[in-house]
Amino acid sequence: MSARFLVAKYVPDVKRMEPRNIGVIVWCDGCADARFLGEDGTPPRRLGVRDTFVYRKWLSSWRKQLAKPFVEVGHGQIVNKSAPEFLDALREWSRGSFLLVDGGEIIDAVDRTKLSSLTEYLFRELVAVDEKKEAKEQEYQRLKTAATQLIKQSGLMERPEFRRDEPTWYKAFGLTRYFPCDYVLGPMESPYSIYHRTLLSQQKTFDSTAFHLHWFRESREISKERCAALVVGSAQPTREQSENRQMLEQIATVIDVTDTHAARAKLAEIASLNGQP
Amino acid sequence: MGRRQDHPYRASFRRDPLGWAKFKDEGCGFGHVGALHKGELETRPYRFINEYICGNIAQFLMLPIPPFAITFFTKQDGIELRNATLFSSLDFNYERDQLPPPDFDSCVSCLPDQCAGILIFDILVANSDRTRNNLWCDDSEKPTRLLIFDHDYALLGGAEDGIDHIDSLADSLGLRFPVGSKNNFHPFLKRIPSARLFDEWYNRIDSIPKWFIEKLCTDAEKFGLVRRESKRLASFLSYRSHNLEEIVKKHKDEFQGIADWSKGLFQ
Repeated sequence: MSARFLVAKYVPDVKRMEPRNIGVIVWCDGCADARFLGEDGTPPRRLGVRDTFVYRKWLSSWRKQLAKPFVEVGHGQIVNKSAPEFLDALREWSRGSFLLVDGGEIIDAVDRTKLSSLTEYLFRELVAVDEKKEAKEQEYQRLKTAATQLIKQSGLMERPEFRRDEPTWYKAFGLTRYFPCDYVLGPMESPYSIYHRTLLSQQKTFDSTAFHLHWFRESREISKERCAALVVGSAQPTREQSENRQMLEQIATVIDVTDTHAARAKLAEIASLNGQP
Repeated sequence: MGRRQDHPYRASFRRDPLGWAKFKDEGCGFGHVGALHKGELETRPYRFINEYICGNIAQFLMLPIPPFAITFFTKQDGIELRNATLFSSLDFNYERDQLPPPDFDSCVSCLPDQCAGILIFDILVANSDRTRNNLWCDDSEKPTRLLIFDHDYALLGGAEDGIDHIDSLADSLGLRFPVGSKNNFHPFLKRIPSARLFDEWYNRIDSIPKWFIEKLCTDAEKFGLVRRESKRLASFLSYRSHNLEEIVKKHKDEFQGIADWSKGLFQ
């Protein structure tokens, strides 16, 4: 028998109507199964879920309807779970930011004993997050937040010669190149010091940043001590992260933003060098 | 942090000196609340009147209905409305972060008294359109609060029924939607577990003063009801409010969850 499925969607802002997939509900031969994001733990904030209480209530409500032998819709109309129209009736359980939309039908015949495998498959295909990508995104966000806070607390931002996100130039192999340095102290013609966020776990991004920092230092004749690479340290770094950090330490002063005390001390040290060769 | 729905009605203050500033100094200031405004509709000429009368009766009975008022509207964005009277009901879902629809079993299990009241009220006013779209709860699994709204289809009916509609109801429950359909429906009809839950509501409804019903119907003439209609409506409501228990017992079989119908003295 063919199986049908619904895709559960969350819409952070109903005005913009940009739904994100949060789950699947699959029906086959009178049986139904479902899988949703965030069911075992915290609702996925990356989807913009604003109210975790409401999110959990919706998941719970859908699960409750699936557990019943029928769905009651409209003015008392009963749709049994054995009927293919069951999923159409279940779609009434949509409101505001939480929607159930028709996902389609599986053309191949599906045995009801394979229902949970099918649900897992559809969940992976349509809903699941790429965990590596998610981890990288989280590292980026963590670095951005911690670095901003650190620079703010160091007092650098109050200095008149402080700039951020400035495209700074350098020369490499006779060619002029630009890169948007996160924080710069001093005039553009001869900066006192630079501070740049560097992701240790994303190889392509790391290689690019290392290239920029190395050639910036070489061509603008800035000492390693006045060139700070801001990183997120890890208690158990991967081999890739360790090797990248080793390389970075040849190029710049590496500051781990998660160790705030040490980081502030290093920033103060760099500040004391400002104006010096 | 409490759940947002603990306080379903949201207030905001005006930015001028009579708003927030006055509130900070004196504890009161002008501001705004959100509301759902309903105006007249050609295809539902009695909508406004149904809402007005049902709203007032529900408030009298202390049923969980959002506060409402008759408001007036002239124009917006250059568009003028000819009949600018509105039935404005306080918006209880201000941030539109909507909770799941109510689970009727949970409603009856957690709030049996209120559900019984809502059912009896809907029979009184012949509201055949009570669904999960016009019943709100704060928690679909363990509700602690319900709200009822939308009484467009009660009393004089949804389309152009009017007096014909209420004449056709006689001693029926008045819960058939659409009107010609075979079966009565109400989310709590088959779920209320005991006839004893109705007793308090019979008393309250029976105690609605005659002048109250008559005044409501006469006032409705300001909103388009003709004298003949208002008198018939008052008579209908008065009859039902004093005979509700008999009407309900006539249709005992519909209340499938109830086994403890009380017997009269000589039965």
